[in-house]
Amino acid sequence: MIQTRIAKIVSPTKVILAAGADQGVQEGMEFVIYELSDPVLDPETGDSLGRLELHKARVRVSQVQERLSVAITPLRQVQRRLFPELWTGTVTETVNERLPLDESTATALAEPELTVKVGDLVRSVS
Amino acid sequence: MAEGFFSGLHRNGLAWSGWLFTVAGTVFGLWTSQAYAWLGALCAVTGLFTLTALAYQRQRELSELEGRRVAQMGRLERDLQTARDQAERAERKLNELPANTLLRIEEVITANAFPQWVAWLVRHAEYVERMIRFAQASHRPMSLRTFVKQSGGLFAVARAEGAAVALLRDGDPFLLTHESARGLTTDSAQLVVHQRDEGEGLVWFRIEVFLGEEMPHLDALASTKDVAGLTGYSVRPLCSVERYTNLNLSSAAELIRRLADEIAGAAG
Repeated sequence: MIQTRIAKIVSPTKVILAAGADQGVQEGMEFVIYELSDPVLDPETGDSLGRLELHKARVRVSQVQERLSVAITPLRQVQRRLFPELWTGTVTETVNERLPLDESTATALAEPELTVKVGDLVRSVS
Repeated sequence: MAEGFFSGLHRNGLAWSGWLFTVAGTVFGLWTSQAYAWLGALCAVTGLFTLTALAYQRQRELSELEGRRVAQMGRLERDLQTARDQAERAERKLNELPANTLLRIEEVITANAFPQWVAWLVRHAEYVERMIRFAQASHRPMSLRTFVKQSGGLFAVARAEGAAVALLRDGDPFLLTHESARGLTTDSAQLVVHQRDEGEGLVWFRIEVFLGEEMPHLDALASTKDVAGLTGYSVRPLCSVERYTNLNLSSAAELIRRLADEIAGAAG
């Protein structure tokens, strides 16, 4: 499992990860952007079970350099009406999903407490 | 009608007053000269004249009303015809729409059905093969430690052996079951692997679908952290590993891929 952080947000659909070929990143690899919850305790023993990953988004590596890689959000199909007032004329477009970015870096906001920002933890999805 | 009379009186006040003065003067003159026969004849002629004028006025009003009604009916009929035309056009569009949609669905299914099925089969074969190895690497059953509520989701944390945890992948489906004190086992929820910690031997599951009426109970367990409430709950892979014990699935996924390629090639 490769663990890294977001180095830069290029656009609402593209980020730069602070890990590249040197760290074993390959093109097509899937990563999940997350943050960690407070420690979760075992109610029986009181020991810490660790911290839950709160997943924000998934990205796929599209370009790899030695020490960084570019990752984009997955594609999804959306139907768009060419002429909304008419019954026909819909086209299916394939677009990248938008990241729920932090207020300071973008306008799109899904859940305020789970927004993607520079420095977020990222790990590969096996 | 009274309104019509007064408006007419107002418009033709001079003529009316002249007519009234003449008639009143004549009546007064005839009355004073005691010419009652002429007075009676004058009253009869005046009454007849008034009735004729009234009848003529009513007839004109009726004609105007009839004219307005005919014009309005014409407008309504034109509106009705326009609405009928629009309804017919909409109906034609509605009839065309399902045909287009069906054709597109057929195209999509034809293009994707086979590769999709192959992908599902390959994924499932890989999953079953890993679950067999997971079962072999687990020397004791997974132990459910707690439920956690976070970010609108419900998660279950279970302890397993590190070597077994290493075989899991994000999104692997599991089943949460509950065995009652009387030995009755029921499915509680469908889970997927959310996070793994091989070093600590922990698996974090995300509850995807509640089965039955378990949601309030599990939700309460996540809030109260009631240890006794966890009794009877266990987690197992969604597939029945026992069904595949005599089969070697190590190369099943590759076999499916090759078979699918061959079929696709033969089909053209």
